Amino acid sequence: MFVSYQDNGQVVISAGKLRAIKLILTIGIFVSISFAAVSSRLFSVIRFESIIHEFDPWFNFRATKYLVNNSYYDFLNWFDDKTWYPLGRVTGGTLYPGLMVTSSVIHGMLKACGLPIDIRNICVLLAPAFSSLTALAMFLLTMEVTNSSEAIVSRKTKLSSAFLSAIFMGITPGYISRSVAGSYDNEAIAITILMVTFYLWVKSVKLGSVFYSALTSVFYFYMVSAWGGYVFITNLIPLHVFVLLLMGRFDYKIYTSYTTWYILGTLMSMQIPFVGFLPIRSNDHMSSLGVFGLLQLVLLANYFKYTLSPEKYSRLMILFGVLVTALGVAALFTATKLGLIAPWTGRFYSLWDTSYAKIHIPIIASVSEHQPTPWSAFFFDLNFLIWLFPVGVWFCFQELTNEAIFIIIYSVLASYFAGVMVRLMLTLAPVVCVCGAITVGKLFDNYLTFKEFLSEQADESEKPSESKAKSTKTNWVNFISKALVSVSFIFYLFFYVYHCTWVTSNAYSSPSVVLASRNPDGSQLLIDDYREAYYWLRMNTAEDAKVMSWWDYGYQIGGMADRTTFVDNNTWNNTHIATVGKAMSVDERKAEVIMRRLGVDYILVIFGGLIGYSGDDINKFLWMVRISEGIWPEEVNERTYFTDRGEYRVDDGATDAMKNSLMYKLSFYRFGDVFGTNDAMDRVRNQRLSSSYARSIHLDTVEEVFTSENWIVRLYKLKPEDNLGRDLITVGENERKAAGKKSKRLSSKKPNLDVRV
Amino acid sequence: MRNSWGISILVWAIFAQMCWALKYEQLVAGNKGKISPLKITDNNYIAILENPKEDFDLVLLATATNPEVGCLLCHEYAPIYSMVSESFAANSKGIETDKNLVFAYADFPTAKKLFQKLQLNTVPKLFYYKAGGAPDVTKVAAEYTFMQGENPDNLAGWVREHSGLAPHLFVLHEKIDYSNIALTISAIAMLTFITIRKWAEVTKLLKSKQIWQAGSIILIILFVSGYMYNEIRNAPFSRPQRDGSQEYFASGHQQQYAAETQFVSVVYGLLMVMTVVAVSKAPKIKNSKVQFAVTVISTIGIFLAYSYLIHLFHKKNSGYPYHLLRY
Repeated sequence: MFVSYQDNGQVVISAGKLRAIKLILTIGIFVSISFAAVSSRLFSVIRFESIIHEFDPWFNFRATKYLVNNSYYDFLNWFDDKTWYPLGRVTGGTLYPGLMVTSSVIHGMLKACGLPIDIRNICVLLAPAFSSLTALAMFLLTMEVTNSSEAIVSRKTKLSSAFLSAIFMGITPGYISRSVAGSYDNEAIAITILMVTFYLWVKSVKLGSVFYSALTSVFYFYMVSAWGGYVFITNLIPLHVFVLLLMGRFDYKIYTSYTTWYILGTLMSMQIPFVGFLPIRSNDHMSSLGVFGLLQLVLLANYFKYTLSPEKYSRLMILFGVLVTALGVAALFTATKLGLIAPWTGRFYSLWDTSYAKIHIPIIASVSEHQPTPWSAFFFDLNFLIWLFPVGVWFCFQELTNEAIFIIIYSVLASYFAGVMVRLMLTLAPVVCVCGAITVGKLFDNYLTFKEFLSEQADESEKPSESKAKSTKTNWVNFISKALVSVSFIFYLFFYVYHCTWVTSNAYSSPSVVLASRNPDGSQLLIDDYREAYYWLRMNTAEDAKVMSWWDYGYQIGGMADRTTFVDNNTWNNTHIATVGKAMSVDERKAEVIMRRLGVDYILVIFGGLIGYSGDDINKFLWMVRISEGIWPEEVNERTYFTDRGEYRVDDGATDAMKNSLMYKLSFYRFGDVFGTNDAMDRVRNQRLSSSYARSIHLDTVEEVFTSENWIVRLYKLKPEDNLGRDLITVGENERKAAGKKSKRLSSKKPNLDVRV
Repeated sequence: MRNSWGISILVWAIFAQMCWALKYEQLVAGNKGKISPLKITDNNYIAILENPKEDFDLVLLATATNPEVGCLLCHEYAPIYSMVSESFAANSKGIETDKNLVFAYADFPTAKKLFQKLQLNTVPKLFYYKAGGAPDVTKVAAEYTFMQGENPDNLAGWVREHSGLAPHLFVLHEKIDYSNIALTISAIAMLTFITIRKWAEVTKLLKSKQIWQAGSIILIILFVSGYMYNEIRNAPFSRPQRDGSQEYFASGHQQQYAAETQFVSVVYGLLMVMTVVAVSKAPKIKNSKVQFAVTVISTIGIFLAYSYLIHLFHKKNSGYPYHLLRY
């Protein structure tokens, strides 16, 4: 039907049909890539359920719900009185709204189509959906980079290179780590926008078109609205232009695209309330401003070059250069002195001066995703692409087109950033995929073609017999070497798929709200204490109840229990965090004063001692002590929580400061009851609390209201003040004395430790 | 030659003095006035710390800067400590103070006996000894608590509080590293000189594609093999094991030794060269036999190097299920 046969045995196919087949194949490949990209991100949904992960996504989810239920302007002016009690947070002005707006727009569109989908499902599946768009953007970018040069990748290979880059990007763990279903975070959409922006930028430099550079700035605006990492674009594009200028490649295409992008992009980015005037003040944006100025000067110089005589021109240029340098330096100094700009501070600066953050911003230095990256993390996240990456850069040097230079700069810069900070692996992954795809594409171009071999096999019968033997031999030799290379690399590609699947399923698919464990018989056991407790809070406490917990759980309490919190993962107010830390670190009497002053109703602690969950509050306790010691060094002292021999003990041998601290008591209160007459065993710290000691831990100012199935979450209620004006602790002591006389022991409820099926 | 004699005589003189109990004056004289901070070793700790005639307060930093111990804080703390002690020495020079104060430090491998006596399990530790407390080294007047984000002000304040000396003695002087500045200036001068004299060659070099190509690829390989980790964390090259052998690979993704970067960057370099040969050089070879040999060798080479890389990765991540060749 598609083909016709000629008399000499050749097969003929019409151009139109060929194009149709190509289109169908292209679409088919894209569908498969999207399918692979989306399905490899669904591990957590299948294993657990459609649930928002971790901590920050819970805030994004809550903000999205607010946006869906209110108008956009309400959202921008949202003053959230349910967090940072009693201060509140100007949430609308301190977040990047891109993510929430995206999902609410999708929600609205689906609703208009008559598909009312729950906003939670949209939030959960947003990241996988965007990952397939990222693959498409990668395809376009690789096409654009390889399009204009035969030396980098030949014409017939560029399509396969582009497809390879799309599939590499689709399943690379370096990107999946931030985009599994449920990880509803800014990066989920930001990487897609990043790639689209780069694609449009490369295209606009190539064409010099105002249309494409305006599109670039529109996507740049979208990026600014979605993620703080937009600074990467703000610096990469000027650097690209700067290098092109140094190479003497100034032309009006570069001028047009850069100035259009800079002016529109900066003006638009300033519309985001959280960004505001940063683009003209902070050092992160200085380079783009500088290159903008430089381009105007270069334009002027270019004009003079063709109008003045050479000697006049060179004299003018020297004068001009000195003047501009002097003025620029002077302006920089005055502006810094006047406090208009702050060039040597900030998060971005900490990437260059690697010890800066440790000294000046300890709260950044303490976060694990801001640590430097060991080599194994690169291999873990990128597998064999990591050694194909430098090869791809090598090929980019074969012909230094403007696009190839962009890829080279991006490669060097992003690998430096990824080396300094683990989380920036995310920005490195795309360029690694482009370079890896160029290499593999070229390799297959040379080796995965057996056309010659087949045609010569066909011709053989017509050849004279003496040359036949020789040509057959070289033919076979050629075939074997080609087959060897092709088979080995196809094998590496399979290996890559296995590796990515294994990494995704083992390392990046845990929601960390629901924990997975194994029963002794190997069957899966889900530990769902967090949601159990948050649900209890939601159903059993007053709607305006205020829950005190360490800041890690602030977003989750807000999102799942819908109760007011004191501190949360936004960590904008260190003093407030320290106040909560102090309440947890000091003894009950002092803690009561702090809690009454704050207006605490409930206290939530995470305790892993019973089942061996190591991420609990006792292990985080030292941070509470440290942070409060930073504010009240005379009242809290980290050293007193360690024994004389420097051990961190929670058993009978713990220090008095430890034993009396509120956090310790809240964690271990009635812990001894679980073990009957045996010694209580803390399975995280592997320490044994003697039975009599464990039973003697008592609480007077608070009462236990809820403890989850595996004791991971424990909730306490601050008792109301005594009606007769007595001190609660004295009351408690008297009661204990009286009870001791009667030697009556209160019967205690043992928690049910059976596995809930 | 003469110089080394002089040094050995000096060492002898110091050693002779340390055989009996030292007074502050002797300590100062023995070290030619430059005693900040004083290094304490197995040889001199008895004379200084277990000294019944002791007439000075002493601040002791027990540390372990040896990279094999891998104490990050020790490294970071050394310049802070020497800054405070040198500032104090400069401030108190030629001034009669109510009290003599000595800054001392003991580094782990050279003061093992002292560490044993103090029963130290963790470093760094900072102790304050009051005069007359000797001969018991464990009788510490105060111990300093290390906190996040250490700075010299904390330390100076702590010492001032315990010694009761006047605050002006603890005004900190930022030590200017003249040698570094001189090095930078001379390097810049050299470069400028060369650039001006050999303008044509320099521009040719700067315009050479190969140089930029090699430079960026070397940088990329270094970065992706964890070079920045070593720089930031000051990672030790390797770590000696109990049985005396060296451990070159730290298990787990949280840790890394400097040796790992060297191994891995060499493997990446080999892989890269062989891939470049296989992809773009081999197809251009005219002689079909040579072409065949080059292709096969580079393919097998890639396979071996890649399996070695995975083998190395197994040392970092013991739960990784896949292998190529098992070494």
